[in-house]
Amino acid sequence: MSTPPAVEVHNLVKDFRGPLRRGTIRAVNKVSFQIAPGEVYGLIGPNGSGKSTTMKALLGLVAPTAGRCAIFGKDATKVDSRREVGFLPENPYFYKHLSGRETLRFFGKLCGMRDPELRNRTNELLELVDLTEARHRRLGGYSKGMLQRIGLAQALVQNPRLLVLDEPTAGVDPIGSRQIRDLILELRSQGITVFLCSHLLEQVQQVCDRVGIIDRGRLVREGRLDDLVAIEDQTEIVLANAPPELIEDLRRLATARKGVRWIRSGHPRTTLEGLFLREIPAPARPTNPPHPEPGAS
Amino acid sequence: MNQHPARTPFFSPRRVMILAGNTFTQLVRMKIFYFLLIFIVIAIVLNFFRLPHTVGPESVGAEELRSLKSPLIGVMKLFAVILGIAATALLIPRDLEDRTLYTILAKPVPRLDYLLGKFLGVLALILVGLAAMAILLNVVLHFRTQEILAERMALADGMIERGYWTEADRQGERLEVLRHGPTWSLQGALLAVFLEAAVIAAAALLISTFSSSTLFTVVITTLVYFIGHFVADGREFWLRTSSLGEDLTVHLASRALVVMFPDFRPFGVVDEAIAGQALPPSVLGALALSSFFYVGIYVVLSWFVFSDKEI
Amino acid sequence: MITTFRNLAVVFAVLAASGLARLPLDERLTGGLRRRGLLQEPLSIETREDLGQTGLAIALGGLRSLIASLLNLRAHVHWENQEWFELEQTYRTIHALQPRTRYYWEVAAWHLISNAYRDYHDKPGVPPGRRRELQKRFFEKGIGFLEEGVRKNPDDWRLWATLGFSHSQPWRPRNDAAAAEAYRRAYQLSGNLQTQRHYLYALSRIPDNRAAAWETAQAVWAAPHNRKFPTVRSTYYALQQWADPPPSRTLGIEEIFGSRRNALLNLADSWHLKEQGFPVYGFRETIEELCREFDVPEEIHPLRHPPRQWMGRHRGAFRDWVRRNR
Repeated sequence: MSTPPAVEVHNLVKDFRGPLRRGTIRAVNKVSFQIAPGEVYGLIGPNGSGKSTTMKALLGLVAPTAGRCAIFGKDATKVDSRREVGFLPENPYFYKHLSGRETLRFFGKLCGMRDPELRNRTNELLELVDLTEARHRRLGGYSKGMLQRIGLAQALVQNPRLLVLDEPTAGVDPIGSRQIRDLILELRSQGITVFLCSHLLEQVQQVCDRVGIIDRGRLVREGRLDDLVAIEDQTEIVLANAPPELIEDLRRLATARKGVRWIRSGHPRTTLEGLFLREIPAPARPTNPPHPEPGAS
Repeated sequence: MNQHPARTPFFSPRRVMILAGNTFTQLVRMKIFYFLLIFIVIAIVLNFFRLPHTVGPESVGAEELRSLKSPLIGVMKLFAVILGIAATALLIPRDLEDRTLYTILAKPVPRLDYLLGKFLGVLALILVGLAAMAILLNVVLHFRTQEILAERMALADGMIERGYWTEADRQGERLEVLRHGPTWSLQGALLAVFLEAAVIAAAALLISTFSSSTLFTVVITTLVYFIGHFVADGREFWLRTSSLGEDLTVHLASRALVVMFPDFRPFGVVDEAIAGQALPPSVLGALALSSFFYVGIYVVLSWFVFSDKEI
Repeated sequence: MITTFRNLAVVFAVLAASGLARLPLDERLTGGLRRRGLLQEPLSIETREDLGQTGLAIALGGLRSLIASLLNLRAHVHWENQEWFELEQTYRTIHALQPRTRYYWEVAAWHLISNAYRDYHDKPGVPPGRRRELQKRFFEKGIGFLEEGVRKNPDDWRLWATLGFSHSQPWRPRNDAAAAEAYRRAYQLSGNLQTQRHYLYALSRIPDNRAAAWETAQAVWAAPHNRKFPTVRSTYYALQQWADPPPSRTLGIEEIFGSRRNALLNLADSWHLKEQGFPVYGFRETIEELCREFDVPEEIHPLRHPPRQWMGRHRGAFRDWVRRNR
């Protein structure tokens, strides 16, 4: 007995009617991919490449011209399939007249949740995204980062098994970005599948298990992240507190072998982000174990 | 743990109510109710209005009550119709623009529920607003009617004393005054105002599913409103004279065009109720039935268009 | 795009089909409502022109009563400025908007019959011959309003009564036949005793129709409430004199008037009514007889002076005399 993939997109085609003269525009051209349950999948590509359209087709917001999409085996054009999906749109605006808490309750009720479960979940999510203090303030008064966070909370309100994120960190400051990334990883550790689109490649690299590269409606490359970005014929070894003599020994050992080339040694560079986060501490958060960063010392 | 039922129901009243409630709250927080304030001010001013007359026909008391009723009910009608058109025209384009629509439809919410929820939210707002104004109207009308009744009864007493009138005459006079006051027929007329607003709101809903622009929807719906009233008048002219041996297709086409617009004629009973006529419940029943029919057709058509709509 | 057109086509088709399907029902509903007077006819072209844009918009929007109320205020301004032609015009529009509202017919007629008529009596800037002509014309227009009013509201007894009253006013042209018919309709619709009495009065002033008047007098007499009105008593008496019924059906003076004293007072007062066309059969003989009974002096005898003069100068003394004596 096999569990259905979390997401299955099969030969998806989407045409839009251009202005009358120019005929149709094919936004998505026979795109196929699958996402296994518990994976974090990133769809990357330039603006206008068809990422959003693919996402919308998956969520039933647009009807495919051809092909099919399924979520956990259910046809995406049926309302049923959205039971297990949480969606965070790009630049989300929610109803500005509602407060943070009211927003979560609204979406929770739409998913069929009731009190007291809904109340508990709302409080839990507000904690998770660190908006407990602002929960009674109207969304009209939220900053962009806060909107993003409430958006994430709303996407999670019904405990979905699949989370779809469209540009989750676009326009968010580094601390916020970091928090969102940590959240995604935590969700993965809970077994939730995450499907995200982004053009911020650096950030995709930090969270995704698999990526697909889409350009002009076509999926041009797909696979495990590690496999894709690994420079296959190079090896990296990172040491802490290594004395210079040890480095010399290793160097002699390596170059003694035939065909091995010593490319580089020295201090690895941390990222600017790492520096930033080191200098400017994030606000204290009750949960979340610290995540080891590449290059931080 | 959250319990997911096996299938999402095609139509869930609970969900519709949630959406309706949300729409209602949204509209209320848009400070629509300043309109009510204007109404209150007008009502108070009109209460002190006295028709200039020295000697004149005895039915002047009724005219004063009419002069109270018609502007107030006019404001109510204006409120209801404007809200029906503008609020409905606002909802879907705004959700579209704000992308709130994406978030909602990404949840297991069928499009029908969404439409119904929006629509019922607007209707709820109109109903509540009208109810509040109706209460105020009835209160003001009641006091004014009692004043006029007291005057007329004093006159009647004098006439009876002098032997001109019988008790039956006095009763007749009393009934005559009371029928211009707050009667059940008047409440029925207020209900008719609501029904008319519901019909035009449903039309706005339908038109808004075609366009993504609030302004466009408002303009077209307003046109439909006036044409619906005007065509009601011209309808008979058309239907009678259009069968003058013309080309069959032209004849059918013009007929079809005329009947496409909603027929607002029966709602004119509001006018007569203001003038003091009695409105039998059967008439209201017929009006209600007619309105349900219009609303039903428009909502179903809206759903039809909206299901396909690319967002 | 094509989807939109397709959807549009479907929507139009469904709307047209449903509209056609419900057409007979619509017509039946509206027709029924019109017949019951719950709906008005569509506005005529003239009325639309008179209303102007804003008025038309509101009227089309469905609140004719509001416009009518506002126009009524305008009519009051015309009244204050004594602009009778404009006033008439305004009321025509009002009547077109609200034909079922009695007040507008009544007040329009009142303005023309009472106010315009009086104004033209000595209106500056209008030559005398023209004044009389305009008086007559406005009076007839006023009557015309009421007649149109009862045509549109045949069941409104009060309006019929107003029409009757307008035809039988002192100091205005009188039409007893029309008044009688109007009062008859009013009484028929309402059973109101006042209209019945006025029907009798109007009818009794038609010399050719004494038989009908006598019948009506008996019907009026049948209601005890009517019997206390002096004019009813005197008219009954006169018509009885004319009809000369068999003794078993004749009412005596005491029966009609209550006492011989009342009879004398009443008949003396009613004697001058013959100038207004009321029947006075047998008054002369009866007054003479009663005056002899009460020893009324010649100076204050009702029949020795022209009625107007007697009313003005001697009536008071006469009444005191009759009351004091016997």
